[in-house]
Amino acid sequence: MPGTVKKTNLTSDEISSEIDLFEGTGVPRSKRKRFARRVADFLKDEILKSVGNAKSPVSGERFPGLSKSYKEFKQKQNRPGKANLEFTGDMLDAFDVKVTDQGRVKPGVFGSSEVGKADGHNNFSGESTLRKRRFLPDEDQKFKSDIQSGIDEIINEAIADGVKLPVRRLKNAGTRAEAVSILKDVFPGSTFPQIRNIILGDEALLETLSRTGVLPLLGL
Amino acid sequence: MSKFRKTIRSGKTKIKIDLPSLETLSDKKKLVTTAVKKELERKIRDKSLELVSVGKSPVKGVGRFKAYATQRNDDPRGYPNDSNTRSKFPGKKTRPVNLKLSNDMPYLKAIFKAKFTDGGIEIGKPSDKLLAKLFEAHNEGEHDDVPQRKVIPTGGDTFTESIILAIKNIYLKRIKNVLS
Repeated sequence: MPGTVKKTNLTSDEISSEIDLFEGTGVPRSKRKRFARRVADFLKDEILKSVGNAKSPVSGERFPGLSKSYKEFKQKQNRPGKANLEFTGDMLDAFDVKVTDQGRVKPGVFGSSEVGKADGHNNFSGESTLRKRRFLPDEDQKFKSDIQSGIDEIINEAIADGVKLPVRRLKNAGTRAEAVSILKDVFPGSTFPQIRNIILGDEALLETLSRTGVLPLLGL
Repeated sequence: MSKFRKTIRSGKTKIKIDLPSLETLSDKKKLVTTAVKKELERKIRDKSLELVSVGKSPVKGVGRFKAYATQRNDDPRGYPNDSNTRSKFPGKKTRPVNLKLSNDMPYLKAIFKAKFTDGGIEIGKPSDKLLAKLFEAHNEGEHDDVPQRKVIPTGGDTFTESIILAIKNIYLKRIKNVLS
């Protein structure tokens, strides 16, 4: 399923989650890195925004508040008294979302001096004694739904990229079932709700479908 | 193939969003209404300020803002812990680097105040002389003592993907209204 965390990595230089974006989508390998870069850029914004607001970007997770003593310490040092994982800023400066050669994305903290801190919060090692404030998803975890929606939008762009609709066939489609069947030929492996989102995410596809007259048949 | 991404272009001091017309509706004024332009202005400002508030640039490739002088120079009396800032803005924190002294945010609000064009909007360097100087320092890095902290894409830069997606969704919503 696209967007699944395939594995996590923890070494002296890196703590990261590795996410497969394109499994089962039919997006050719030659295009994957280009769209993975867009997802990486999007994820970097969204994860840093969540963390900066003392919230986990991972579905089902939350950031517990600071202890009273640490909150007071932070505030005395002229920092906000919230769990935004920022004191010097070094760990978040080392946060990045990399793209692999296979077109996967890897949100993580890179650089030996900051990996330990990041593991303290995410506990990939199982050895952290800190309260968990997870900003990197573990295997089988996903991002929160608003972040996942953005990822899905970019994946849909990848699926729609370069697609040419069979205009004549669509113009001749008399029923919704016929129109849906034609679109399923164009987007093999996608359900109609997925196809609907792909179409709604691409102005060229929307306009072409409008000219064929099938938009009302499809309920769009 | 989507023409959309080519319509966000930055020049020397401004960035322009010029949404493409449709084959079935070539009149841009009818497609990109005042309501659409206002929504673009608001959404770009709000999404950008969400990022700036946590110390991140809304410009693709720039990343997080450099530390303030007190931390950067290891100087206890460096900005924002200097006496002038402390006395006028006692609530100003050392982290995050959010370019904000007060809730008024005159600089940040000014740079996102849009000029409306036929196909969209244009934002960037303010006309006010003092705010323009701040723009030259912060956005363009033209002041030796102030690290560049880019908030508006200029010189061929563009926005980060989360802002581009937000712009795209406004455009697609309008297209769907026009076509239905």
